[in-house]
Amino acid sequence: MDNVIIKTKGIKRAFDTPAGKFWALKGIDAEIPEGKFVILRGRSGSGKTTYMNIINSLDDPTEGDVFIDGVNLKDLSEKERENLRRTKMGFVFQSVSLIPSLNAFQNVEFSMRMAGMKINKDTARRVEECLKLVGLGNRMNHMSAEMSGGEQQRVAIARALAHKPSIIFADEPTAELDSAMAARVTEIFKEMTRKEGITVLMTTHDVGLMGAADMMIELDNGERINAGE
Amino acid sequence: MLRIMLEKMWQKKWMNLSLLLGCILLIATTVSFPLYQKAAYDRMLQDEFHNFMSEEGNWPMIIHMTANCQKDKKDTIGKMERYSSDIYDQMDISEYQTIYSYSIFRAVVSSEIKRDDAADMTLSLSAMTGLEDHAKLVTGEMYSESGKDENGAIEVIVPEATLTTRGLIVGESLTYDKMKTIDGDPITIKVVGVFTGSRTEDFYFQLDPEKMFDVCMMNPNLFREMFTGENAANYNIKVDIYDMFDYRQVTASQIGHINDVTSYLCDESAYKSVIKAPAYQSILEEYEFKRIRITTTLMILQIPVLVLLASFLLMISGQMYEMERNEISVIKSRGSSRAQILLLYIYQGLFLTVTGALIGVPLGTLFARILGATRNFLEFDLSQSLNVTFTPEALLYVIIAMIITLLSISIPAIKHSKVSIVNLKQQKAVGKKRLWEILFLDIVLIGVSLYGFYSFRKSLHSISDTVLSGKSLDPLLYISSSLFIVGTGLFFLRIQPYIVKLIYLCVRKLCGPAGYISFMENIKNGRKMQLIMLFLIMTISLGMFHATVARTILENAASNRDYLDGADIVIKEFWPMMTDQTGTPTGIYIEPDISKYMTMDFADSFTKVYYDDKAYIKQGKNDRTMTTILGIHTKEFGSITHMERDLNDQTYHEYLNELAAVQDGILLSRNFEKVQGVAIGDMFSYYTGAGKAMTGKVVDFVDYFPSYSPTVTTINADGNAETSQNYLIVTHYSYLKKNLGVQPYEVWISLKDDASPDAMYEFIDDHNIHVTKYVNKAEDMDKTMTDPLLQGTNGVLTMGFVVTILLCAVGYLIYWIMSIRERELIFGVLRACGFHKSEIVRMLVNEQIFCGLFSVLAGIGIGKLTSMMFVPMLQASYATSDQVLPMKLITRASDLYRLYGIIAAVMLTCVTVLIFLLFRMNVTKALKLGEE
Repeated sequence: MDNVIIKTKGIKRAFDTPAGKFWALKGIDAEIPEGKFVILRGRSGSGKTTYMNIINSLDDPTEGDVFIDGVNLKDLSEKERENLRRTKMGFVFQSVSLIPSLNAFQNVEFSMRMAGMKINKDTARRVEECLKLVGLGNRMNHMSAEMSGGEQQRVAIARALAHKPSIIFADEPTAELDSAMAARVTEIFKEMTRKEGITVLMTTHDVGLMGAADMMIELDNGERINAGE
Repeated sequence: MLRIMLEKMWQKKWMNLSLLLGCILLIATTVSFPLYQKAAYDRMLQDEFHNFMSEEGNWPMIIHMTANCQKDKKDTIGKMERYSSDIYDQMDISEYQTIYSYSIFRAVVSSEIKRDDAADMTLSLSAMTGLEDHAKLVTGEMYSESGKDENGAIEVIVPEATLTTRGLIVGESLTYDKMKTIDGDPITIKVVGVFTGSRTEDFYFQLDPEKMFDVCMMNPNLFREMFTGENAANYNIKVDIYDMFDYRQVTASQIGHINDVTSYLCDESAYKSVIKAPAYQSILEEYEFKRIRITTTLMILQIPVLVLLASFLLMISGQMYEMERNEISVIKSRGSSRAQILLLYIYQGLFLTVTGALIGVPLGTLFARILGATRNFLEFDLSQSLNVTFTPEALLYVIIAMIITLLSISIPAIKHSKVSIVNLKQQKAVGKKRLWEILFLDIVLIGVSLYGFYSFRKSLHSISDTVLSGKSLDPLLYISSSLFIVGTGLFFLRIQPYIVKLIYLCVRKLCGPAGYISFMENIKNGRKMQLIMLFLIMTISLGMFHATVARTILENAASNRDYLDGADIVIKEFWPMMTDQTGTPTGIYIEPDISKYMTMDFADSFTKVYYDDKAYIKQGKNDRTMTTILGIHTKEFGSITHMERDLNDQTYHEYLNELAAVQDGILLSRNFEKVQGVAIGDMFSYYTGAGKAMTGKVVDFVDYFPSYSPTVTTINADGNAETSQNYLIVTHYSYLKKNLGVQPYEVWISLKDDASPDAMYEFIDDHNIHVTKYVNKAEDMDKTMTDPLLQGTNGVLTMGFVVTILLCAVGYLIYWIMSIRERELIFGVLRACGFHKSEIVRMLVNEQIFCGLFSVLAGIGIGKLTSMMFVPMLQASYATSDQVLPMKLITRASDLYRLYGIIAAVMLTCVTVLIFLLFRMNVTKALKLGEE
């Protein structure tokens, strides 16, 4: 069996509502091996984003444990978690998340700055490489306002990738894209796992994309309903 | 529609609250001006009345009717009396006192007492209403109610002057030989009392009893009964009616009416021939002259503040529409007409404006009160605030302010109502040049203001001359300074991104992700901040400029007064002259007792100063040049007077020492050297006012000397200002005394710091000093400081400053809150990607530095520059004819620290609020924002 990079045990998450506690997650167990393209699927409100935000340390579970590379997140301070996110993780969001005052190149480079890398020729080469990977090698100097939604999302992927994280979290990255573009994005993710050995965890409810996944975690009403790969 | 509007406003309650604040401030500021002016003018009017009283020694508002009535069969006197009492109604001012004074031309009386001198005695039989309340009886008693004694003789009281000149005796009866009653009986009077009274103590005495040498006063009712109307007989009766108005109730708004009625009375009424031109007309003229000058000056000073207020509203409403762009474009795309959207915003504007007026008007009243309590720039004395009342004129201002407010709020809506969702997306492109940049508006404004600057500087002299001839501050002059501030402010905005870029190039190796992103944000997106930056720059530079203007004008006026008065107190006593046996003056003065001045425990020291402003020098046979001689005791004089170091080449005491070293030495004013060609070491001849020739050795020339004006500015017949040279000779008092004998001198006194203001008056009273010249520096200083023009200027500048600071604080805070709200998603993304909170804080602090600190620094620089360039000209606009000292630019560090303190507090509050907002921000929620 491959090396397990993400492991969750009995993750529960409750939100306070006027009607009492609402359990968004009701005890999720999962083990995700390194270098796989994993799709987290489920209907709206099934708890997939909540689950993902707990895994990537943005949110804390009410109960249960998350292990990244064998380290329990509960044992990390806020600062250590932030460093974890900066260095080991990459993020792609559903909405446009580029920094408007930076161009495509600078946006991608920024994640490397965040990861504490020294900016030099090597990093520039890496940025170019990542942008080429997402098919935007010719639009490096464009501002985000000058690009289409799909292009912006691809820049965001390149950004998530540039600092060579171990895991990329992509929350509904294809929701605002047409199906051709969505397929292209999925393909890029797939390629990344293959070429760079990065683990990609992507949420989606687009059934058409499921085929590309190495592994699937399906949630319904806060519970995991499949247990296989 | 109303519901939609209210819901919409509730959603953006903070924006709307700040808009409301802007409305309130704009309306309050606008309305405070007329309210303040009205109150200040009322006070100024009262001041004018009081000045008149102290200078002329008379009641300031009197209408005097005077007529001679030969026979009074037609009831002329009664008609006059009735008409005079109607005047109060016509003028609409209440009565203080009406005095009817009647007198029969003096006629010969014979007394039962035989007198030595054979000359006939004449007495004028008179009566004055109200005399019984005002006459101070020295001996005897007042005439009785009936006015006659048991024998039918008319009881009279006589002024002391008449008693002594005519040698009358109380109880004496006198008979008018040729005057008969209507029944043919001779008229007999009996002196029952003697009275005194003085106009300086009681304005009732329009004719001073001290100057009544042949008058006897009888009961006025009896006078009317016996000598007027049906009983007029053939007497020639002089009637004087004094309508004394209660000037204390006169307000500025009545002036027009009073002037109209007065000119009607004097020029058109049936009684125009008997009404004397009233003295108060000159008071009102003087008042009007000042009022117009103040009104225009203050108005000009207010304009930039109002413009700033309006642009604040424009900015905030612009920001709000910016936020609502999505909603507007959605509504529009769903088919709402542009008119409907506009209407929605106009309703909203109306709502804000009306609410703003409801709060703004009372606040404006408060502002006006504070304006009137201004003692100095940013200094108030609330115990002395003005009595402010609401006027119809103020209502007009409220309406105008409301219209401006409504327009400022609604205009941006016109622009935004055009936008549909399609062009919205097109507009979001970053970093386009603004219109002003393309048009080079900054360069144009700087050019225009510099043109103004140079043309005004060339004619600096004529500025004060035009002002002295009664014109007010030239609007162009002040506008030039405002344009300069806006122009240079814009220019700074143009170069600011380059400055940031330069700094980035220098420090890029050192900056982490937070520094990097804030540099990038500013370089690429800086234009968004331009409005708030301009606002900040203008607030600070206007604040500095205004602080300097206010301080400079006030302190120059004060130091000028200080210089001209010379010493704390200058007093000259009346010096009687010795007479020979025949009573002819000998030309030798009797020196009053000087030793009493040694007993002044409230004074530090005093010195004798010989002052002769009638002295002259001869150039040709008949060519005399007038000069002033100042004879001083150098050591004493030097300790009592002082002078600023920079007025002369050497220190003041060095000149005094030079003079002290030469027994017959003289210090001459510089114009003797320049105009008359005198040189140091020359033996110089001059003449005292009495024509006595003197010589002295010139030891040096001075540009300034305590109390000396090098030039004199007068207004000639054409109303233009004219300047002429004024000369001064300073020499030793002892030298003059040796040559001229003891001559009347002035006593210059320096007071102790804690001397009571009344001490000198008490001293004068206690020693019964007959004063012929009196200068009290503290009083003059007070007068200078409360001059309505200066005070109003200070008030308006201070108020404007406070308002701008307030706006700036609110505007700045709103801008930054908006800017954070706008970027919440980005912050969320950054936080998700592992940005520390402290990094986001650092990022914001950096942005504060680029936006805030840079603007503050630019504001300070521009403020300094503007002050240096324009304050001298503005100062010239406040010139008074006795301005002697060269103008000095005065900036008080304390003002600036206050300014910086306020700005720092604003920025600190801003950062605190922003950090608070940031820490409250939930990352996962922020990320959700983007999904909606």
